[in-house]
Amino acid sequence: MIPIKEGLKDALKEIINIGVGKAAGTLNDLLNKHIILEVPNVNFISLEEMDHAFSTIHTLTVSAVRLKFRGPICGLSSLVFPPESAAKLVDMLVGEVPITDDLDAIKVGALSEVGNIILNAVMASFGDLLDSRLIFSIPVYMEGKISSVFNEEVKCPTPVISATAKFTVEEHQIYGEIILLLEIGAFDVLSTAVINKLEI
Amino acid sequence: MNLANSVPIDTFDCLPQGIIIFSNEFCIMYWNLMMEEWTGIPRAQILGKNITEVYPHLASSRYIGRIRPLFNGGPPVLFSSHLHHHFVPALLPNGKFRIQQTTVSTLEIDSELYALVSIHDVSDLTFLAQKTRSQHTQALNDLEKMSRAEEALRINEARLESLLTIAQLGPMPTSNLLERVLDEGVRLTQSRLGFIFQSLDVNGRLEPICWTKDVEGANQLVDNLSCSELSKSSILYDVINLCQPIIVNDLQAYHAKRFGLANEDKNIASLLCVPVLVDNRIVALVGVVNKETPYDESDTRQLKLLLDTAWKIKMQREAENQRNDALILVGNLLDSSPFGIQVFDALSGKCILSNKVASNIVGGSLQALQEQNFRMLNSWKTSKVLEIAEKVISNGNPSTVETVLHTEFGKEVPVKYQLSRFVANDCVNLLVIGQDLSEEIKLAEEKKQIEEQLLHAQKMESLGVLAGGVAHDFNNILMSILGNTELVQRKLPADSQVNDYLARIETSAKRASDLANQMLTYSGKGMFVIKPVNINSIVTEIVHLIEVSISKKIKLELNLTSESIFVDADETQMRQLIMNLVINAAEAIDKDFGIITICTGQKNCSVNDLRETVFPDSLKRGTVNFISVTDNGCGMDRDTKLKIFDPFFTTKFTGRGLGMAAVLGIIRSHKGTISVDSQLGKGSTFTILLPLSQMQTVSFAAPSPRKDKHGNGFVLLVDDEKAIRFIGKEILISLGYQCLTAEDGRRAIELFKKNKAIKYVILDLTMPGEDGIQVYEQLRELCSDVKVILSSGFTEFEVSRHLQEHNFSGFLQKPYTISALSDVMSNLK
Repeated sequence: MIPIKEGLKDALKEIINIGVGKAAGTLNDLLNKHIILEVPNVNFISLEEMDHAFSTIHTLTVSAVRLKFRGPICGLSSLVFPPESAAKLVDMLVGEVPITDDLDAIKVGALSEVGNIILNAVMASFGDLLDSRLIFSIPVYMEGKISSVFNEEVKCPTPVISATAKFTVEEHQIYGEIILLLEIGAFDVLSTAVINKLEI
Repeated sequence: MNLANSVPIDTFDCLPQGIIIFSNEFCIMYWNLMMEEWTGIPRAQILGKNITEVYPHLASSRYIGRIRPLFNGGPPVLFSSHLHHHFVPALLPNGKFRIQQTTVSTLEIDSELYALVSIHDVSDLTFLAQKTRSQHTQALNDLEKMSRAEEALRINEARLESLLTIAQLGPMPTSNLLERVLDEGVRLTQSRLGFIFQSLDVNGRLEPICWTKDVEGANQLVDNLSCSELSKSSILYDVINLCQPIIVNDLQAYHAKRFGLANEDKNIASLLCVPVLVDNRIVALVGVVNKETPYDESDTRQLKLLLDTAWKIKMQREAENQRNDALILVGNLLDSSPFGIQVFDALSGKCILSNKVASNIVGGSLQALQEQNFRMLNSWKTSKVLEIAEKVISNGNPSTVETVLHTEFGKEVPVKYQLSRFVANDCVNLLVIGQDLSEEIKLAEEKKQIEEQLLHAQKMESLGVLAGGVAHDFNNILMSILGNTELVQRKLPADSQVNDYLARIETSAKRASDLANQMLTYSGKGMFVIKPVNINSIVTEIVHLIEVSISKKIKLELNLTSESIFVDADETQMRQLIMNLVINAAEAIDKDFGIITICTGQKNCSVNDLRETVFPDSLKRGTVNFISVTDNGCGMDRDTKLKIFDPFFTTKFTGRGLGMAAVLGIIRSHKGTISVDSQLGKGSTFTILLPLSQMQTVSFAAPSPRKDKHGNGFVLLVDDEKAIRFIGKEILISLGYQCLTAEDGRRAIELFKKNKAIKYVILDLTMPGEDGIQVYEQLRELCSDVKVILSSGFTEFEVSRHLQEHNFSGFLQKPYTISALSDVMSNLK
């Protein structure tokens, strides 16, 4: 575990929850379905610990939507779905017959948009916290091992914020992982920003 | 503001994407050429307009809500083609909306943030993807169908294989067939074990006929299921009641729900039970048990198909067996039928079936008969059988025909054909039942012959009785004449002139007596004494007598056996027999020169030989003596031959017709028989067959010269004939006896009781009222010493039974002479 001050942790959890909450509203609008989006826990882990942390899915081919950003803090955020959850989510969103083989265009488009909505909401919360504008890349859809989604992008060991997002669509529950990789110094910036906000 | 100065607008026009730039107030700042093309709205016309006014749907929160954060530096927003289809409606040439993948990012110009909308037309990709997906789905469906088809094929192959295996099973008992079928059923349904119960009656009583062997729990399963009365809490009961298959994949739950109790057999987890129906009646139940996966309708179908097929095969086999049994029965029937049976196809005329007897009747082989066509048979054409057969075929009325067939196989045979028509398998057939009448005709002829013989014998018997009766009465009369004549002669002087007359009376009376004796002889009641007689000696003795009796033109030849042959016979009657035959032969010869041959000897006679004689039953087959007399005279026709032995039948003007009748009587009395072989114009041979002697041969001393012996004492003469009583008394007195007479038994007993001096009784056998035997018994009771002589017109031979049973002192044959009476009286025991 990365030693992070409890206050920062709580603050970050709050920020993520706020973002996710907004995303749920957006998804409700978009899909005309009652979607509950929760983040039951947020963890801070090192990159080396990722395999262990995601042991249940690290051997699987995951679907991920990735959004890079830079500005006061640099890094990338990603929403990762295990294959079954990805398929199930798309089925529920699009109302298609279950697809069990490789993800096709429908899946890519829908998952990209859902990921885009959630990540945008979360990142917007971070933007609000920082009072500073972040520059975002265009969101990208990726498939592959979870390690391959992040490995190329991270230059040095840095803490990873891992938040489990739980989608409840009607009676079904689908899990995805919101993962934020922040470059060195990002936590300091965030910590400062949190302190400033609290003082305000 | 003019964005053209800040951004490379020309570049956007070169992009194959729709590009829109609008401000944070949603005022359209840029509209590239692709957008013009897609929407048909020229850039100049749209610039400056609020995009949510041009496209009101964008005003909804699902668009605006997500786009608005962009103006605060938020991350790019994606509107996927699948969730939105299009950002800006734009038609394709085919009239469908372009499918768009839209990204909205921020564009910072002069510290102002604008929304840069980048629209990708993914219609082609989407349609392609949809097509691919459709194809993929189709392919998947096809694959699934193919997979299902393959599975079905595999199952069908397995079924077919099972059915073929079952159908090709060789002859085997039904139980083995069902065991094989059950094994296949268990294999096809992937079950653990199975059972077949046969339904015995309408009450659902079941009997296990086979079950999977060598599997643990099988015996217990069958025991549990086959309780004597089918329990109502049994799944089998449900199957019978519903008359349809039942699948139970959780037997415990089924029992609990259906019967409210637990299933006793814990070994059964799941069960499939199918009724086998024949004519809507359950004939059997087949069940399979414990499939690892749940039983389904496919298993039901498989098991049902298999068992239905097997049951059909079973029934076919049973029907075949019954048919075979019936065929064997028909075959045996044909083989063992005493009648010839032939079946012809009425249309073609060809023989369908024939038995051995039919071929025997016509003298052909069975194969030859089976190749016959009745319309081609000449024997049928010429005998009208064909004509009748055609009538029977046309009108269906059975008909019988008796005819003599000259068969195709060269045989001439009297037959009786019964023809009838029957229909089998829509074909009209002609049934011919034939009977060879040869034997029947032969038997009928024999029967007729026997009846004729019987009739003849009865006639002879009647004539014999008549002749015997007449002769008997004549003898009584003649005895009176002769006796009285003899008494008169004795009382007259020797030189009396009356003596000549008396002698003539005596001669005539003797001739009459001879005739009466001939009649008696014919009737077999003549007087004779049986003793062993050498036939050769008799012939030799009477040769001279014969020669003087017949014409000089006739030559008598003897062909006697060198050995002596003895018969038990009366010597006198044997002489008479030969004499009569020779005289008859001589009378048949009216030629200038004739030959009569007398042969004697012994020969072996078969039953057939004896059958040809007049008394076929009188002799047993074997060695017998024979005497034959052959002449070369005129011979006899059939009628004459038949009547030759009849009394009073004669072919001669002067004949009395008693000679040959007497011959027959003599032969009958001596338990012999005679055969006649005669050809008209060629002559006749009479052969007499006599039994071999059963008595010891004794030599007899020559009789001494006769002299009447006198006696004395009281004699009681009992006879119903007055003349006999009279002459008998006279003779007895003349012999020195004292005589009392009685006309019947009652009178005799009275006299006997009164006269204790009576020493002798002469008792007539045949009397009205009490006969001689009854009187004798009473006399014996009164006095055991009295000597009783039995007297009868019948011969001693005939009354010998009485003589042996009762102790008579002597026998006196009527008519008796003085000398005969004298002899008997003097020889009393």
